[in-house]
Amino acid sequence: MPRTASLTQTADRVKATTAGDSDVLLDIADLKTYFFTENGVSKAVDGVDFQVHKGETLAIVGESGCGKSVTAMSILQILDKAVGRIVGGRILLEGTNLLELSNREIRRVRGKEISMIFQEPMTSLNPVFTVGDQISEAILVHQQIAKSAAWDEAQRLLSLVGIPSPGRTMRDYPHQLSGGMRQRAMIAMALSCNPKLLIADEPTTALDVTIQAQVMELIDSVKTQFGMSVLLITHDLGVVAESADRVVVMYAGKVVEQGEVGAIFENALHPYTQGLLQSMPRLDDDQPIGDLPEIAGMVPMANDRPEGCYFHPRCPKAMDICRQQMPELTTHGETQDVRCWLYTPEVSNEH
Amino acid sequence: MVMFLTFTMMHFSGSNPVDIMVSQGSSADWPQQRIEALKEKFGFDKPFFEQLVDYTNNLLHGEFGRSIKFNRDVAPILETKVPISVQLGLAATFLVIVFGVPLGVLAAAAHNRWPDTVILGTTMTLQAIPEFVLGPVLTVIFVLWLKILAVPVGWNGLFTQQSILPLAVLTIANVPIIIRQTRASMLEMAGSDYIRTARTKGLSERKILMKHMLRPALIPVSTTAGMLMTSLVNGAIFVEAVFNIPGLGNLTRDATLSLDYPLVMGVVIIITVLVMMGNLIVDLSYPLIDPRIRNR
Ligand SMILES: Nc1ncnc2c1ncn2[C@@H]1O[C@H](COP(=O)(O)OP(=O)(O)OP(=O)(O)O)[C@@H](O)[C@H]1O
Ligand code: SF4
Ligand SMILES: [Mg+2]
Repeated sequence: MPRTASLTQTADRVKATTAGDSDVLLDIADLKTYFFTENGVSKAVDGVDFQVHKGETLAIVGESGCGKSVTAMSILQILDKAVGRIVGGRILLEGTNLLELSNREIRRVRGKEISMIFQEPMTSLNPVFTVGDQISEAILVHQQIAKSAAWDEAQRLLSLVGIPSPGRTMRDYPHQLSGGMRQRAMIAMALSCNPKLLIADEPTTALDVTIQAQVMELIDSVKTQFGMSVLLITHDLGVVAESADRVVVMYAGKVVEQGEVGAIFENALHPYTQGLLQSMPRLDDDQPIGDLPEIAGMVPMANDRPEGCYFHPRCPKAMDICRQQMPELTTHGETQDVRCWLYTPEVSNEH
Repeated sequence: MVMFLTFTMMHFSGSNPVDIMVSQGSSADWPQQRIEALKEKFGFDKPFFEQLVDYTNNLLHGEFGRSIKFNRDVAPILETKVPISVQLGLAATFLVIVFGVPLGVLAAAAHNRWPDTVILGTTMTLQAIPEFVLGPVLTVIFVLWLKILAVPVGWNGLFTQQSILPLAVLTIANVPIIIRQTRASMLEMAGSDYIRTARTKGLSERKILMKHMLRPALIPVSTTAGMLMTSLVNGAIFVEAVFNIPGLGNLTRDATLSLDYPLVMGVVIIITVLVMMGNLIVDLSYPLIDPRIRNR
């Protein structure tokens, strides 16, 4: 493996050269989102860097509580303002820093440039308004068209996302739809203004297994159809293998590894990524699911993280330096970045 | 059922209206003979079961019996009192909703900022003042000091000057309930998934508040308003007493204190009917507000 010049290059420097690239849609650098609660400050997102390229599906994976949803909500700035604040970093959408926009300007980004769907299709639609009302509303916020035109467009979108009788569903209330149908309606709503990026926060977790695959297929197909990028948050590495082009692995509010899906699945560098992959059920072996090795220990609380590398209490390869100092994100090979002392020159030279 | 319970309780209270009337006068005025004659006339000498059967039978023929205290038929008495209480109660409920819901929305919109604090503080203060204190206080202010209202006594219809102060008292005393309910359910909606969706669409905060939060928040508010309506219609005892309004509240008090049980029975039955009608109105209005009930 070529560990030469690129080895010493930090991820930040890579960013500086690619930020101007027309290929980059969303460029997040050093994003910090903290929650100020009675129990102290929760550093839910603690210096996150990654980019979403045009037309790609980027997956964010990581255990519960590592800050995936907070990262996504920071992009659209829909955090609970009473406790959650973005305290640092930048989020560039085609060169515009979303964090510097006024309230009015960020509202024009929401739903128009960037849409989002959530894990909970059962509760994500307002129970007292019809599906048609809620989708055409999303169209009318951003487009100066007649209500009837918005209604027709909404109905077209419903049939596009595979709802069997869109005319009737338009007049239905959310409780009259199944979970899968509601998620399809949410996707229709998300597509309504032709966004550049669709953020899907665990879009299939709450659905039946049989429906999960259909919804993922739908997301893949509308992505191509609308020429969008997709930021896919998921627990399911199977879904990552199937749908994503690149993957970002998060741990305790930081990116610990990122790269192309093939590279990560074949040659995961970070001990945490390796642990995640080992706990993933594989089709090609007969191991019963219950016997899969879990990563021992628990994710540290966001307001009480250890010194040094946040993963060291659970890491089978932890060294002295790991307990003292946080490693930087460094680049390996063409596209893979990893945050681990094992791959940092001074340390790996000693080995 | 309600009738049976009331009747039984009245009967076994160990006293009867005639005895009470007797004990209120001086004993010399009441020869034993006359007492017995009165009791016989109203049927108190008969055994309990027979009395009950008689009463039920009369009731089924539309007869409430005769009030002992007023020495008049119960039905016409009720006929004059019920419309007053119904008007007063419905008008007060209307005012409470008209003021309470917007103030609750305002408080929720300004959550933890000064308008919220002011509204919440005021409602808590008002809730601490009993109606029988508030009534005289308002009377002193508006009639004696400001001299913009006449002394409010009695009842000349809903749209008269007399009804202003009683309505004001009922509204002020009950509006905090609706304000707090509206505020609480709005705030509860604020953290819901569909509000997050609404924000993600790019809707303005104003639209989110007035459409996506208010409509679902009205569901619990309407339940509370329904209960409030029923209790206000059934006689605001203190307010009717303070302003001497001849409504159901005053009647209930008079009838109970004198153990005038044909009258008490009449009042209880009318109140039961009013409660049932109130519940019916609330039940019928639910599907208008909550589509989940409309088409299941
Ligand atoms: N409203 C909030 N108030 C306080 N802390 C919060 C809030 N929302 C999130 N956090 C903190 O942020 C951390 C990360 O939460 P986040 O929802 O991003 O996790 P996640 O990676 O999406 O997990 P999951 O897979 O369970 O969805 C949590 O552990 C929690 O400490
Ligand atoms: S830095 Fe050390 S503790 Fe952290 S993952 Fe690498 S080897 Fe493990
Ligand atoms: Mg999440």
